[in-house]
Amino acid sequence: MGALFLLFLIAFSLFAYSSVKDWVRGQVQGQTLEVSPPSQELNLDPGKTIEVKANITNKSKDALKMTAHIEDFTASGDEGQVALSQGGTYSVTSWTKVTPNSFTLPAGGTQEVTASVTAPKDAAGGRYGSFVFAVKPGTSSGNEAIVSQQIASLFLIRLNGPVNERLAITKMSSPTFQEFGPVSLDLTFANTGNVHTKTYGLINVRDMLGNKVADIVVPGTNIFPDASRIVKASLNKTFLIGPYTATALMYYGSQNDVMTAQTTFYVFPLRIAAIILVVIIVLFIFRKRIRKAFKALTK
Amino acid sequence: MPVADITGTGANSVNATNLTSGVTSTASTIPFGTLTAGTPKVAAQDITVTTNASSGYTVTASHSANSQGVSAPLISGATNNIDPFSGTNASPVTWSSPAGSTGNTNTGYFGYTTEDSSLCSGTAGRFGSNKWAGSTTIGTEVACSTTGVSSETTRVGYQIEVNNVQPPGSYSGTVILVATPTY
Repeated sequence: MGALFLLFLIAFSLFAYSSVKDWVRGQVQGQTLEVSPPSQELNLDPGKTIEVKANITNKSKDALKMTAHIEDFTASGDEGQVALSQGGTYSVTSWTKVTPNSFTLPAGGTQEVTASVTAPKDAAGGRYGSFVFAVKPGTSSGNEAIVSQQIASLFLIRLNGPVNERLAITKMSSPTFQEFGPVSLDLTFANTGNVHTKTYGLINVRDMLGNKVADIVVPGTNIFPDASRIVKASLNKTFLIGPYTATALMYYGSQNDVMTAQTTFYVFPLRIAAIILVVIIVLFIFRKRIRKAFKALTK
Repeated sequence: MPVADITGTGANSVNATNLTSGVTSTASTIPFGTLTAGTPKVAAQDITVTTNASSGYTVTASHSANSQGVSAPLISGATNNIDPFSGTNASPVTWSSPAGSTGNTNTGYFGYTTEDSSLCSGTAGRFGSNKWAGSTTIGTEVACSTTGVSSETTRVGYQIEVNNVQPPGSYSGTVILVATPTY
């Protein structure tokens, strides 16, 4: 039930501006909503019901008329963004009832909203839904656009029982050459299973002699089924010389399956080396004069 | 919330376009008022997001489906509508006046822009240099971050223009802004 995620907050404020002349004055009318948690992960037995809860807080100065409903979501892009949707392979909306679905939030008030999710007996894999809290748009008086402010709270459900966990590293990349660090190390994962999977692990970086330079911890990151996600890491060292090999050792799934990938990069402070070389050459060319001058000074 | 928390720029434009004096927006309305053919009007809002979710957030913009069954952001009665501007979220373009010669077909444009120069999908700074897009009924990105943020503010602008073929009437519609956390 991801209780730890209750500590997370996401607040969404919307401020309107009027005109150039009214720039500062126009900022006073704001609507601020806060939802907690922004996302949570749950397990559900097929044929059973679970209650998912989220809190919406009105941090505006005025009361707001609100609605709450459930939408599905899928991954969008490869950096963890989501797209709200209706239906699809991982839809949960038809299993879900939300209460209350309409309410008034006084200034500073908080409303707990519950989604009751009942899974069919033959359900398997993952299902993904989102509370969507919306400020009820007012009635238009014409010649205007009404703005409806909404905020989402995601929930990721893993159905207990057999699942298809299949995750792979499809790419590990880094800049081929840099003069200085830090060096970015990107891992691209593809989830071809039927449930979201969290991967975590570390990237071991070694120099040309095989000496360990760093172990970079890669924190747990969810990968949505039928989606790719890029996980970014960084070797946070400035002065590096030579070729380096970075080896990722990543774990995923209930069986702690292992994935590995490797990339090589070169770091060399080219401009500093060039300056040193020029200085050495100059000293070599003028070595006799320098020696004479030095002797003259020491007599 | 103190104003100082949401902006410190003192800017007077959105993506290099001056706001139109007299369009007094609120947090829930953009009252463009009476439009003059060939004279665009511009309004802006600041979206401020705070999240301690380490993976960040996305804000999308869309417009609601309407009773005419056409993908128009603003409608009037049963037949008249103002079209979305021709640029898209993936490829926004410089604002251009509607040039349609048949009422309700490219005779009015409504578009949006964002000052977020580091969007998470597509070309990060594609709305720079005063580029605009038309909204659709599917949310498209106007602000995002891949990390937790504290009071991150993004200015979103709206522009509307009609030509002299646009049927007169009282037009209205709904812009939907949705903040979603990253999964």
